[in-house]
Amino acid sequence: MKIHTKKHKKISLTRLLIFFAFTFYAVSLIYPLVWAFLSSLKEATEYMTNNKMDLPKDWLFTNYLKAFEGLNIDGKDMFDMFFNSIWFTLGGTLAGVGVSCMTAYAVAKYRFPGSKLIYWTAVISMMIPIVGSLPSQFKIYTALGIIESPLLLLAFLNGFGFNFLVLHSYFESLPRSYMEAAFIDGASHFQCFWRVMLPQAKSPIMALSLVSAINFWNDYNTPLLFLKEYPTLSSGIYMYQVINTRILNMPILFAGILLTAVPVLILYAFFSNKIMNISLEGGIKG
Amino acid sequence: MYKKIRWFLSNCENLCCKYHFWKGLIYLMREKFKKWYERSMDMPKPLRRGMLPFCYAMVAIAVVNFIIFYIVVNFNSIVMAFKEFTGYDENYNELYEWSVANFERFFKEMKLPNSSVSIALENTIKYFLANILVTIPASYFVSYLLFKKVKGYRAFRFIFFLPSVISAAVYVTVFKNFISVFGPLDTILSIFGYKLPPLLSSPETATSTIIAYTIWTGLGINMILYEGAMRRVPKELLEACMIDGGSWYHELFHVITPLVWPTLSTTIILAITGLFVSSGPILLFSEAGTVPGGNDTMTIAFFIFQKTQQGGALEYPAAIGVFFTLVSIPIVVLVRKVFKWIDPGVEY
Repeated sequence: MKIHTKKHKKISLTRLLIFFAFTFYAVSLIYPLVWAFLSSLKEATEYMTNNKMDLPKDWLFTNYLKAFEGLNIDGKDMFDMFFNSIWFTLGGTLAGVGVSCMTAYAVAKYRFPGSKLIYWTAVISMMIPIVGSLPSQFKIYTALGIIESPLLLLAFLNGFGFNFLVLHSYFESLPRSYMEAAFIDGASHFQCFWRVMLPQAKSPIMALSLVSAINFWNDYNTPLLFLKEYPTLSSGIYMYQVINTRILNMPILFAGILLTAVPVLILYAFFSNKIMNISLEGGIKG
Repeated sequence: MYKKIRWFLSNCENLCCKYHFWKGLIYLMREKFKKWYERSMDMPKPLRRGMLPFCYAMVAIAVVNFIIFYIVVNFNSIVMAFKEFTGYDENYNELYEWSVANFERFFKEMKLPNSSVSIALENTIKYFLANILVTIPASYFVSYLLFKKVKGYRAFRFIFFLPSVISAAVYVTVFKNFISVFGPLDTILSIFGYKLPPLLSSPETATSTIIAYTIWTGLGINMILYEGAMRRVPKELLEACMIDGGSWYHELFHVITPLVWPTLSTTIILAITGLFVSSGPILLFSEAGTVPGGNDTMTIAFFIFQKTQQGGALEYPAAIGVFFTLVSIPIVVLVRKVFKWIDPGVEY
């Protein structure tokens, strides 16, 4: 009995230490965001002159309204950026996940000449790390005339990537008897896909769409290279800082930054488990 | 006369050869089709009707997209790498010439210790080493602790994953101001009598600061990845280890590690094969008014990105990309072979 309690105490001490270490790490990740929030409520001069860790004198929530007009890149304010982010995100996600669904279903559920070839091309192209095809991409996109236009979304109709592999393994695990039942009831191939099989794959499709939407929302490289005329929120934040090096209104910048993160945070708060589980399989890019 | 006959004979042979070649090909195709047809006979009958048009319609978009945006793009990379801009013709069209000048320039610059290319390679290796020597081992240990169910571990999981979800544009901007001179970190450290140097604006500390940021925010995603794998380890095995009096060391390295090896090895393989693409959010870290990638923070991936963003001659960055892709292909093959040899049961 004595030994037991002793051991218990020892464990709880190490556990306590671990708990504190974890808390420290968690605080170090959260506090910068909290600090940015408090700073976003200050006045510009107050932020520059006073101690940066003080609480704001007046809690200026109006900064958030000002941010919508103040964060301005060549006459494009935050409303425009928000709109660009929305179509870029929704369009990219729909294109990528939709095409992957179609390809994965056909390859997983039918045997046709070339289906194996498609599968292995997808696997091998995922294995080879291409170092910087951006110069070539730029030339080809320019030649195709999809640069600086919403037509860029055509480049995201990609059915060979990570989405394809996840959905392929999922469709493969669905029994074929569902399809047979549908065919006996007189469904065509497309009806069977659309009405019977697709609804069953709802959960991986949802999860992949969430992750892909977050990636598109956060992507600043692609809009910076190919959509300079259509700044999204993520690329806009960077461009704003580059353009206004001298007269940077920091509280308003912070307000804009936090507003940018809000939609993602809402999604994450509701679907954190889904997002984590699917990311475990593929990994989100930072 | 003799010559004529010879010419005729050789031509005849050629024709015959061609004829046999096409015949053979048709024969091969027919065999292949037969084989496929026999195999597809085990599919139920209604499945076979109108199947081919449906299948090809379903994969058409993806295949066309792949051909244009993968095959053509990467093929064009190679073409660009072997081209040199020589000037304009009378109609102001750009003129190019086949040459290896891009590669010559690259090797020449690699030999200079202070050129952006050699700094980029050095920094890329630094990012790579930080990932494989610090982030992966550290997050593996920490995930073990998280796995042992620390109080409030669900909340920790949620928070640790946060930097992977929030845009780097958001997180870096906040972080950059957080560590700036007179920023909060400076204020906190000054309580202990320590003065924070301008980390991002000096070449000695700039790259290490960005690497520290990538480690600090990158711990979380690996951690959750490993912890998820550990939770799938059967409880009986852990109990058996405990009953046998095994220490935490035994539990971690002799029970858990072999079972989560598929996950662990996948992250290691991805890290090694991505050697030349390892980089950080360098663009976002550039201080206002300075050149991005200045202060010796260049990496290979960022060099190519920046050259593309600036426009102008894209042949040189394309050549660098092609060179490092070619170098990394044998590495990929070798690494996968080695890992297969370590544990043949694992499928990648």
